[in-house]
Amino acid sequence: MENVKPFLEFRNVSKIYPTGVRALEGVNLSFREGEFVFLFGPTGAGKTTLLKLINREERPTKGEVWLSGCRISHLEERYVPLLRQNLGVIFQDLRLVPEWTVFENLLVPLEVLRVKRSKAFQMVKEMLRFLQLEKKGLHRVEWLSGGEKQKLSVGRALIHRPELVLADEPTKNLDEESAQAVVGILSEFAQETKATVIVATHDQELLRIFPGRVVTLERGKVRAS
Amino acid sequence: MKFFFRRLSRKPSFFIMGCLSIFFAQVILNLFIFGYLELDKMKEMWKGSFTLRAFFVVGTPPEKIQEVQEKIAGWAAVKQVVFVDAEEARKRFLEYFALSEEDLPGGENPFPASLEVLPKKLEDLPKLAAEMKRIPVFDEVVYGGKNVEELLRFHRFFVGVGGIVVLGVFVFVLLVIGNIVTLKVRFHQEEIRVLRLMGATNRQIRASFLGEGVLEGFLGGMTAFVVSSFFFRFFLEFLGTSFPTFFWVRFEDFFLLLFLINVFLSGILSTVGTLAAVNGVLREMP
Repeated sequence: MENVKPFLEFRNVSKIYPTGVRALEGVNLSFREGEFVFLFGPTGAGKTTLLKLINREERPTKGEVWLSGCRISHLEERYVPLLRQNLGVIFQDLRLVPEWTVFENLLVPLEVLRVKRSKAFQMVKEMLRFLQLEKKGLHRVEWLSGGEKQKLSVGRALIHRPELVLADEPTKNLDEESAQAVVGILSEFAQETKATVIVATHDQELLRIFPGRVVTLERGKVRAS
Repeated sequence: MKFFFRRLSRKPSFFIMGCLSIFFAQVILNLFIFGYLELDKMKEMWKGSFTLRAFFVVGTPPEKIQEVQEKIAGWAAVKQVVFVDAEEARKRFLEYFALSEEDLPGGENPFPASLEVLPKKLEDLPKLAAEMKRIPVFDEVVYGGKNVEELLRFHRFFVGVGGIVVLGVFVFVLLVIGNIVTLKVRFHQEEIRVLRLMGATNRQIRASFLGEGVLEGFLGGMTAFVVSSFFFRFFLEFLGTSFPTFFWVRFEDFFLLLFLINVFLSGILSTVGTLAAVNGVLREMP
């Protein structure tokens, strides 16, 4: 296993925001294909920044990020959409379109990928069943409960079956049962598709329940991996 | 278009607002187009006042007439000289008053031959008239006189003020349409952000708004055209019946112009406005 080339790699990555906040400092990390990883640490540890560097919402101040042999930290702007099309991201603030229906929100990644309409509809229906939201397909997002919105956000990240899933605090503001259901969906997806899943969390209970590698971040540095 | 229908079904007010802004802007523009064309038409009515008529003394020999005509045609301020013989003058008189040959007493033709002189610059009319009066073969030299100066002032005033007003209206139209389009795109800012984070290219995002912009421009422009057409048709009919001797622009003459301006200008304004607004939002995003 030691000789396997990493799927995702952070090489001496530092990120300092224009405000002067040092979010990450000299991070060296690598992830293998198909790994289920918990990025653990308190608020402000740098978990969200780490995920944003993969999604190219941010660029490192120093160092490089490599994904599948591609230096994504230095990727030209015009290739960023291509990178994002191959990722599944669950954002901390969900980033759902509130005035759209559940069905329409799930359809977005497929429309971006120009999946044939009939196939896309079929995939959305399957995802609704998987999320147990089949009766809420035509409901607007603004009418959903917190747990349902979170599930929808997870569904939107997984619907196009990406090879890499990034989940930023997917259990935030959820009760224990809903939180376990959401991470359960991600775990099931990882096992089924062999996708790499990185879950940023500060919930220790989840680490105990779900098997996976744990990377601990503290004040922008990797404390344990 | 699927994004457009999604937006339209959730928030139709923005689309309606966009169409209405283009509609009203185009109607205002149409009124000015009509005004400008009518002003142009007025020139026809004034044409008679801008022509010098010099009547020859009865019995002037043809060779003398020829000589004088050539002399005047050679003057630098003269644009055109036309000889009107006695027969042509009689014919014009009959036509103007809608008379027939029987209405005129027989015998000798009482209409004298004349020269019609058009100056290069209308301002030179009085000077030219004075010069021609000095030539002894002319019995009488007439033109619009003081009216010419007033008509010229009137025309210059309308073209000048009209031009400024049209420019002002055009800027106003651009601002109104631009602001409404920007407002609409800004309202969908979160949707654009989500699409971008899902990996939509700028082209895909622009395309999702472009169809809406084109349709908005087309609908607004077409409505303005239809409403303006009905208005001008009946308005001109009314004017033609009430003031039949005045020169009114014919609706058929500017029908096509109105259609092209309404549909294409609206489409272009709406499309360019939409593109500019979407690009503005995209530039601000990571």
